[in-house]
Amino acid sequence: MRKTILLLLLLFVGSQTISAQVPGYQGKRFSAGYNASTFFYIIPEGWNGDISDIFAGTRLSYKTELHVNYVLSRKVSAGFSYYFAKQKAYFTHNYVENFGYLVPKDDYALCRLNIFEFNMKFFRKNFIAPAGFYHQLSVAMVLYSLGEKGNTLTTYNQNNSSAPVVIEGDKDPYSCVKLGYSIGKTNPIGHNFYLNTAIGVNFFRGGDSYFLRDASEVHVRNYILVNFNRNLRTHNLIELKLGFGWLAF
Amino acid sequence: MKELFKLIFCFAFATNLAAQKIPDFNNYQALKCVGPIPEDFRMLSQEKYKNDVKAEAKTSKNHNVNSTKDEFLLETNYIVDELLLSGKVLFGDSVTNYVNKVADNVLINQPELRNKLRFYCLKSSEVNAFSTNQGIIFITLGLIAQLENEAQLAFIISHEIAHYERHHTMNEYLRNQEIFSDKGGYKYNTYDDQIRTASSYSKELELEADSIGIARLAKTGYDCEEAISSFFVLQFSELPFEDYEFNGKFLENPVMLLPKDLFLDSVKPINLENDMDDDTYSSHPNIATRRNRLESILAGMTDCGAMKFVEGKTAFYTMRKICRFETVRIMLNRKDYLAALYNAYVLQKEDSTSLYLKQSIGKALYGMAKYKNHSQYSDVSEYYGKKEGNQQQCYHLFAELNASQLNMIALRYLYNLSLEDSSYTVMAMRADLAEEAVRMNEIHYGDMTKTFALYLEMKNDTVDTTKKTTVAKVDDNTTDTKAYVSKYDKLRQAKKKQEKQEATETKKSDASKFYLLAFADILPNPGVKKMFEQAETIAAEKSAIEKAEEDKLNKMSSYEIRKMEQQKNTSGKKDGLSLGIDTVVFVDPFYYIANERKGLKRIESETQQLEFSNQVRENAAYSGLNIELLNPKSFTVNDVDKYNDMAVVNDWMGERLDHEDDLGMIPLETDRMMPLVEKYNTTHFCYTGVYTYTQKRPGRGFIVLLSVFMYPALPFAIAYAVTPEHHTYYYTLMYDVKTGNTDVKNTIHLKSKSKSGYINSIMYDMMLQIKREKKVKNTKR
Repeated sequence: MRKTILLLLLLFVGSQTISAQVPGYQGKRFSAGYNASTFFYIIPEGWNGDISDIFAGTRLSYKTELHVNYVLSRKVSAGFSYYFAKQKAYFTHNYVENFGYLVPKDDYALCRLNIFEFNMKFFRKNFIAPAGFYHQLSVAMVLYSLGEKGNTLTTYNQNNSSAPVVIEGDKDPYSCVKLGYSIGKTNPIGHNFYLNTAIGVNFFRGGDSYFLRDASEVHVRNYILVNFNRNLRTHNLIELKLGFGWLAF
Repeated sequence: MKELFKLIFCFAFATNLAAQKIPDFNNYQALKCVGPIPEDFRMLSQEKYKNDVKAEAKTSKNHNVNSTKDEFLLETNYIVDELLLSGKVLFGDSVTNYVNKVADNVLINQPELRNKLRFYCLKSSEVNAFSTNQGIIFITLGLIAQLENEAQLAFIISHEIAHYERHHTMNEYLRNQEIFSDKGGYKYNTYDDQIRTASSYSKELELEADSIGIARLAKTGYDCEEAISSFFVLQFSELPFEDYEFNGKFLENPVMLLPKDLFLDSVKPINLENDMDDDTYSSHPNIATRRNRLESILAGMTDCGAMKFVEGKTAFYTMRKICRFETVRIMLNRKDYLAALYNAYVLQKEDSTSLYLKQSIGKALYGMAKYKNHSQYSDVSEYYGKKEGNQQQCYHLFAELNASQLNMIALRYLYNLSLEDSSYTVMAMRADLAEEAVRMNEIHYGDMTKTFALYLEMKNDTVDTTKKTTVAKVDDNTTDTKAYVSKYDKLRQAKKKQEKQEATETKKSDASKFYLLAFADILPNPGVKKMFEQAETIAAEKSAIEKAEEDKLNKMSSYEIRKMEQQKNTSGKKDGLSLGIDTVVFVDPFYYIANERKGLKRIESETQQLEFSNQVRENAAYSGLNIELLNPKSFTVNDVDKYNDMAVVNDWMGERLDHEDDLGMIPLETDRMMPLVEKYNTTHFCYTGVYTYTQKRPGRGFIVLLSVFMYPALPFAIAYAVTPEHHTYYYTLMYDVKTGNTDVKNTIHLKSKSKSGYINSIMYDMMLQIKREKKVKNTKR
């Protein structure tokens, strides 16, 4: 992890040295924008491998991204993004020690996501930042927590649905690191705006995941974390981004 | 007395008028367009096309225009407009005005038809005239340069009018489409048959135009016999303007004479046989056929005129002379140096003091010398054996001269010219050839002085030998024949004789380097010495750079060499270029959109071109680059100066593009560019544009087939297969017109649609690279 951050920092510093004569888009180096990230995911129990049922358990995940970007050189730009979302997390690790098989009231629990991302875009051959096709590398701090009202999750024992078990969410959000790679394009519209489309892949590492090393040890304390973490990985592994922005100055 | 004053006044006025009309051939200036820009040049092609379609629909029975006609109208409008806006078409100038007057005479009885037609001259050395469906008739300057009289021009104009009247261009196009589309009666024809059929139809149209043309001419008072003479002119139009003996004396000086072996003993006579060439596959009938046909028509005519000139002899000969002067320039522009030189030489017979002609000869010599020095002479010459008449001597001479010889002959000519004309171009050409003489041909000032000394010695030897022979003869008579001569004395005498013979041979062989005597008569002149000293300095610098580069390359690995080559291209550098240029003239920006299936999309391209021009202005403003935009599509009626400027730049660029960069040649049109350099306050002129095309993706079937086995990828594969592949090329070509050096030569390929955002981004970046000051490295000690 540290190595990755170090590498990104080195790239940033390297870009700064050649940023003395930065073109930008018609002289504009700073931009701000909005992206909607989404992708299909399949709820594991919704699909049994039958092709005809391929869409049966398919859902869409959403994330909202606000970002600012700064052109460092002809080929490189750096940016900061803030993502937030409330995603439906379907629980699959249900067996909790001393409680048996617990199921959330609506089969899912809302997972609140806050992601703080630093990214760098490397523009493809012959494109000049910030317009055109790019490769993006990103590193982000992901904070996720229970998004249900009152920070509590009502569950039922599968065998005894009349006795709800209320589990309190942790006060502090869980955390992990997201490493992302995406390819995309920024298409300026007129002089001041742009459209952005991208497809990317995310890997979640570190943070509170040490709790998850042994899934057989699921207990009330990490019940939400275990299930959220797994959902986080599957729902956000791949993302399609669509957005627009303002080429500010 | 009063009458005398009136006469003097009238004479003075008339002289003044004549002086205005007849150009100064000594300091001849290339033709320029004059007055308001005609609508033909200003209206957008798409508007013209739409108007034509409407007009065509009105005339057709069902008010529809079929697709072939529609295609013809679209293509022809765009092609003609490309020509009109190329800068090669003249309007409002003396020659075009003259052609219009002759056209007025030809159409004196058809005022309605006259109003539909527009006549323009085309700056081309080709002997040609053609009409378009829109009623525009083009006459080349090369054609007028060859004609004998006004009546011949009148016939050619009348012939072209007939093509327009009878819609020959459209009919021929429609027929050819039918023939080559393998439809109807042409379905089973071979390609050979198709060509023969098409050319046969074309010939019919030509003969019809001849018949209509002569019939019209007969009603105008022009001499119809001249129509037949015009075919004689056409037959020999490949020859120079006149046929004069060429002996190269103007290249010699009192000391340096061209050796006789550089000249042919006799030249090939001009073939006077009638043109009976096989015209089966030609678009035009052979000249003999056309002449015979006209003769038979003329035999039946009784009311033919007899005037060879209506506008006057002087007017015609003046116009022809202008055309001849122009043709020489055009020949130089298209690297036809030998033809330009010989024709300029021919024109000198009448205008021996003309600086323009001397400049033309100087330029031709410079061009040939440059190409010969770089072993590319075959690119600019034709085999002398194919030439007829006295011009063959000229072609032979320059074919025989080697690089050193031609370099020095050209240099001497330019040196003489520079004494009369010290303009930038002449001085630059002179300096360039002097440098190449030193660096490439290893000719040094010292060699020339040595050769001249030898020459003088040999000259003295010849005198001494004559004297000694006489003395010896006297001595021989008085010598005692019986005197004893020993064996050793005989051997000594024989050895001395042998040594003397060897020395003479050496001197003779040195003297054969006649080109070293090119400056012999003016060697002590400080100007000559200075010129060679400067050349030595520059040559030494260049050689040092070349050697350093060679050494560097020798030390580099093949990978490093490849990387360096890549970095020569702008895109290979991280920061791009830093040229530090403030002002650039952008000329004729272009935008072409093409499709694999439909070809060039004319209307979309034109619309985008206008948008692209706006983008050039906008990005220049954003980047802080001062620009002048010469976009012919947006010229207004009063922009004739801009049109003329664009024409000059196009001529210069056209020539420059024809020379390889390695040649380092100063374009011969540079002298015409210099006023523009002053006017726009920059030496940097730039072409820029976009070409974008769409095609089917390669291997689509395979991808889809593969995805069947990897079914989750199927939607992506289908999307891949049904969407086309886009390619966009952004071109920038910028030259320093003073040196001829390339500032930017860059093609950016985007595998994407040509979205205006991307174009803006690249264009702005390119302008920034042009504008950006060069980085100065701080060298700390």
